[in-house]
Amino acid sequence: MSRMRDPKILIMAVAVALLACLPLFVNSYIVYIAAMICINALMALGFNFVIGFLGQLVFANTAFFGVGAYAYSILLMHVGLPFPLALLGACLAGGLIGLIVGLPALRLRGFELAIVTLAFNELMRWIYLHSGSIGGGASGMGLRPATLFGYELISDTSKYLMILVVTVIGIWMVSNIAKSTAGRAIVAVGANEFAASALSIPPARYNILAFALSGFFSAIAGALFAILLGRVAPESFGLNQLLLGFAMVMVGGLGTVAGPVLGAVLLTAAPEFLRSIPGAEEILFSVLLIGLLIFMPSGLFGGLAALFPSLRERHRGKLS
Amino acid sequence: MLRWKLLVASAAIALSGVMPAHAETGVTKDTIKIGIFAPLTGKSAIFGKYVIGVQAYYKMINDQGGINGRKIVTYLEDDACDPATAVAATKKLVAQDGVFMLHAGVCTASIMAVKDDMLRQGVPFMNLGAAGSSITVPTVANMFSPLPNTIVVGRTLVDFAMSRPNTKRLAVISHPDDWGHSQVDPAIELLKKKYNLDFVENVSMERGATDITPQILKLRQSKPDVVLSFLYPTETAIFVREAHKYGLNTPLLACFGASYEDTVRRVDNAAASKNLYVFHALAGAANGEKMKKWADMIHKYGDPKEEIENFVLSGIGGAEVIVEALKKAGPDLTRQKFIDALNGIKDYDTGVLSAPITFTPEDHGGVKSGAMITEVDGKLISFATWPKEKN
Repeated sequence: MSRMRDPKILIMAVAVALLACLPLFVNSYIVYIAAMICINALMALGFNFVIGFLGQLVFANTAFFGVGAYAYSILLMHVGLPFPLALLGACLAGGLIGLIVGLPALRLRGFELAIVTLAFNELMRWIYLHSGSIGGGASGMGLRPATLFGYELISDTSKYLMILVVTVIGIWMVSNIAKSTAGRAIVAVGANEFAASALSIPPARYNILAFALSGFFSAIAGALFAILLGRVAPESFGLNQLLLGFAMVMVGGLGTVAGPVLGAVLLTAAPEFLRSIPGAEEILFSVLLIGLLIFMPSGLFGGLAALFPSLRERHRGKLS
Repeated sequence: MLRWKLLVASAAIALSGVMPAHAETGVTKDTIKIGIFAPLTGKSAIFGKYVIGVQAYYKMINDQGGINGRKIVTYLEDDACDPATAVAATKKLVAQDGVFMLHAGVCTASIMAVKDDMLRQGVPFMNLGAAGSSITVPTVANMFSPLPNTIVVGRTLVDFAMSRPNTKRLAVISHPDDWGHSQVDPAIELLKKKYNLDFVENVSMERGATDITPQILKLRQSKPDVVLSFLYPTETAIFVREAHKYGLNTPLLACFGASYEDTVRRVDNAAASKNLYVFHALAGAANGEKMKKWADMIHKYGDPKEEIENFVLSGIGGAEVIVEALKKAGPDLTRQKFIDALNGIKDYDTGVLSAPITFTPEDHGGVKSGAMITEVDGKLISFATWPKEKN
């Protein structure tokens, strides 16, 4: 069967086409929320590489997200790179920082690693706050609009369409990485390092690779976030963002590709419905996390996959 | 063909009869929609109190018949002082709720995140309570701020401290970020230029820090006559409490980021708060005679048990100039007419703020002065210069 006849690909192509048409039918507020869903989906997928596939308790992803946003902003505003190169530079910066943060993970595990990465998060926030004229300090930094083929991405629709395209490419990349030998090796290392070693999979290499990939995809999300807001500020990369990313992966489903995307859709859209009730967002997060950990420990997608076996992703346990 | 033309012309005439006279966004025959966003949740939720006075004022105006026959309808959103949340809130208010203007923002970063978009869309924006000078400097067509900015606050604290007899040694503590610098730098500059002095000690406290012992010991060692503090509410309370604990009993002057009443409540030690003075932009003490009219208004149109304090009252001045400009813009209200009317506001005495408000097309910063509030004989009193009672 040719790939285009694969019903899943057809369904996805139709879904993407429908999403691309969204701005024709809704106002700019909804378009903005849709763009935020895309960004959060990429952020959650980045987070998922270490806490889902690798199974490590790591809290550095808001730092990677922030590095992407700030690296993009600095490359665009201070270095003067055009938008596509600044975006690429931000992703590479995120990947590099991920790789560096991954080094302690070779020696630390569990709570120790969680504390180290949490401290790294706070260190990055301190750097943003004291970045002076380079990053704008506490007030943040305004960005000029991204320009693509001579066209300025100013309107909500143009930003959304660009973000949607990057997100679709990002999800496709993550999906392929998860199915690749490297992706399966990361899952194997996460499941049992000793067993992975016995299969000639070097745990150190795949540990670091997972962190680098996590940094790379989180940084894409961070750069897109900076483009959408047209501004970077330290407030955006605090504990709330960390909890949001964590909740998205947990609620959607650890160690899958569809789970974090589902979590991002739910936890980005739901608070908007609860806007008129201050504090309801926090309550929703708490209740969802507690409820899911008790009744659906593998997340929403895990629960759905248990009900509908055709939804199961095939990358787990297929290393050979 | 002629019949078609006649039909189209008739339809156009018929439709003109049912179409509203005012096609401006957020304005109907009997309402004007105003969007508000402020931190109602999160660590900066204390600043959400700005909304209380503002909403009570708009209710009072509606009770008095509204503006040119229209009632004000407010739409309130939470931005939690987070730029991304502020953008979402603003888009909802403008694109979905279709507000005429925004009277919003208590955190500079939130306002700066929406500033360009509001300018592009031509939505009039009145700052609710943020102090960053970047909101109105440089001037842009649609952004107005009724309250003193951080430059004014820094300079006011220096002048007030130097009005104390025999005062030569000033020390300062601040957050080491650009919010802190935006106040400390003008203070350093004024102290040097006007009084030919330097701060005897300049220490910093990170936001979120809970231990301030080393800084207080350094300050105490410098033997200051007065200490200026440019800290957020939580850190101000920690500083006041710990300064007393370690015997730093000199007068402490706090900036606009803190409220006197809130700080005293958090410190919960009368002896520690005895030497505390806090910047405010009101015409008198929050619980004083001058503010009684506004307190009564809040109790009538808001919560009858509302505790009246600095933040509750400080947004009312902005609401007053909005209403004044809406009246001046006339019944055929448009955003441009409203902005033009705001630009014509001159020496408007709000009665609630410390000085009259003047806006011009070149200057959208309203009040450019403030005073310090402290407790004398159990009563809160506002002073422009050092009180004789405290010498």
